[in-house]
Amino acid sequence: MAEYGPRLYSCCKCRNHIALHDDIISKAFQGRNGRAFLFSHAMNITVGRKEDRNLMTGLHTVADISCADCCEVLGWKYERAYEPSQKYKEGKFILEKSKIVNENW
Amino acid sequence: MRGRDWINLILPDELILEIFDHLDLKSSRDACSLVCKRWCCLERISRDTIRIGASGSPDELVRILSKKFVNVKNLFVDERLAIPMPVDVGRRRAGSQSSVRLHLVSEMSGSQDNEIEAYCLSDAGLASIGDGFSRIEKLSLIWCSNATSAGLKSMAEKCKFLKSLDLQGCYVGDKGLGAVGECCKKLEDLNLRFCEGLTDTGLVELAIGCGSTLKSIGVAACAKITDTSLEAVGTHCKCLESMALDSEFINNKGVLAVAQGCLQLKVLKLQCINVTDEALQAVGLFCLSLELLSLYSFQRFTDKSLYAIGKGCKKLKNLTLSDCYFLSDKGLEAVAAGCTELSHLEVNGCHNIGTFGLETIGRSCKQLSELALLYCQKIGNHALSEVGKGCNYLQALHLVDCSSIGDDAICSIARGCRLLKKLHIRRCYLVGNRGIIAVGENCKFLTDLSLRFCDRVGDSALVAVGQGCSLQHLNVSGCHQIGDAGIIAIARGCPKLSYLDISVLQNLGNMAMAELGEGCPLLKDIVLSHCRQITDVGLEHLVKRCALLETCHMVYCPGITAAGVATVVSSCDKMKKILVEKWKVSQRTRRRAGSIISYLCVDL
Repeated sequence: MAEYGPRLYSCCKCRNHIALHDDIISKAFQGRNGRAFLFSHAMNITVGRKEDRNLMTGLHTVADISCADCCEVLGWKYERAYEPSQKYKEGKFILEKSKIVNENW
Repeated sequence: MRGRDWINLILPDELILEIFDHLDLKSSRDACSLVCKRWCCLERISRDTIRIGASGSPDELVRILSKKFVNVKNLFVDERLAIPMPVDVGRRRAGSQSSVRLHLVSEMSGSQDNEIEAYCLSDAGLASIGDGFSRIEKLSLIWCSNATSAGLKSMAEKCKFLKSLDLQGCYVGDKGLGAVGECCKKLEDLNLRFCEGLTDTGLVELAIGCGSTLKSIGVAACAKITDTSLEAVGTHCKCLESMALDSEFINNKGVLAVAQGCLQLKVLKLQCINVTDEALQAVGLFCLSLELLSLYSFQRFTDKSLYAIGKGCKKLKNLTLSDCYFLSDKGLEAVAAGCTELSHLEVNGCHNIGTFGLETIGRSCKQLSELALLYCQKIGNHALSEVGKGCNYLQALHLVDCSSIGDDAICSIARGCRLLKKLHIRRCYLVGNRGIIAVGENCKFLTDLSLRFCDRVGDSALVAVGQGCSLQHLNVSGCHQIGDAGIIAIARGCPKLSYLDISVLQNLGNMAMAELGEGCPLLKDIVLSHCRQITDVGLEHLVKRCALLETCHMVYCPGITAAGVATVVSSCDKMKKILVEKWKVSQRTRRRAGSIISYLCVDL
């Protein structure tokens, strides 16, 4: 019998719970190594230092996020966006598909 | 009168040589040597520094250069630096080396069979250095991957005056270093980085050989050098003043040995994750002359280390604490109380150091001249109030990602530290107009101001700064409330401006550019990226008046077109670097100025 519970994503290395499927805003993002998802919320992560980076969509201030248990870098958090059309990303998290695995489903 | 050469008739050789001694740039020296044969001879005698990049045939190059320049004291060989070839040989390491070799074959005087191409400096090259540059005092070999012990030995045997040796990325072995220890009895300065062939044996032999003269040692990323070497250093290098270590294979034992043996140590830089409090306690006990201490990425140090340093190293002037997670306010308080001559302090990412620790620094360290607080979320306004009250000689302040620091702090600094020359604030979102206006009103000596991504700062701040400070360097990238009014005030008030970064300012338009052109003729570097309202018209006004422009970054500017880029290229004959999107560079512009244009590369 399959377990029914909240659909979770976990860290690929240590299976620490990172994010809920319900928090996905978009699946159409590009990460460093391929596809990535935009989440409104992420848990059990450490946020690193802020950096100003020129991304494909413009200049952003981002901070890398890593798993709180095993320190694997999983993606980044948008701290600030400097193009008006990108402001919706502020405070949200990018998790790379290659770094997270499905848990409970 | 035409045809009369006054200089060469009247000036004797010695005077011309003295004049040449003042020439620092290679380009100036090369220009002088083209004037006439006499100047060429004299310049060759007086040249003392040569830098060789990745030339494709370094062994030959060294031989030729050693014949021409006999008094060279400093030789830097860096195989990472590609130098432009006179002939287009395509990929440097491909088979088309023949054109380069042809150029040099005529100079080769019957040397042996060179079937094996030496693309990097080899042992033969090192032997040539020994033969030709025997008076050399400073030698730096970077990524000379073909050099081995034999080469180093032959060089050491001939270069008796060697004072400083820098090996990075060279696979020399212990025999080579041992030979240096035996032969170079004047060696004062040794730097080893990525020398994976060296083990303790080599460094121990060198410590024994040159122990009485060695003043400075640096070891980074050399996996086989362990505590044993440091014990030898502690035993033999009694005059050692400076030690820099970056290694996972060094433990307390090694650092203890250096601390106990080298009592004259003035500079200590440690990036060794296995070193703990014990080692630093020894430093605090024995190295009473210590003036500079840098601790990087230590997870294992606690406040005990800082108590010891504060107690013993009374002459400490310069302290850098980077990512030292367990250090707290108590430790910093101990340093503040004990090291009252502290003039430089950098706290970077030490999350347990907060307001109280900095307050004690402000109260005790009156000589503080440079303070850098990076990524210190816990440090609040009150800390800088105390610094403003106590450290009146402060000249430079760097604040990055200090989210609790705001206008109150900046006002205190401005009013208290009137000698401030350099203020750099980045991503401190609580800093706004009030603080910067205070800076403009009080800090008359300010020449370098940077307020990146402090988005509460607006035009009124820049008006005050323009009126009060004669800036040379201004960076307001990301302070999007700033518009034409602020930049015009700067243009009118800071005629000596030479560096300006106004990127990511959405409200900035062409008026400001025109005023900048009129007001800042000494402008050398400008960054305009992400300015949506600046167009070719504004850019033209700027570049036509600022004749000294050397760099111009203008990516993500939708108002600037290929015509604007072409104008920049044609108006600025001193231009060295333009950063722009590839599709904005026309064929003609690329032909005219291809080498100075860099294209934007985006991260994903």
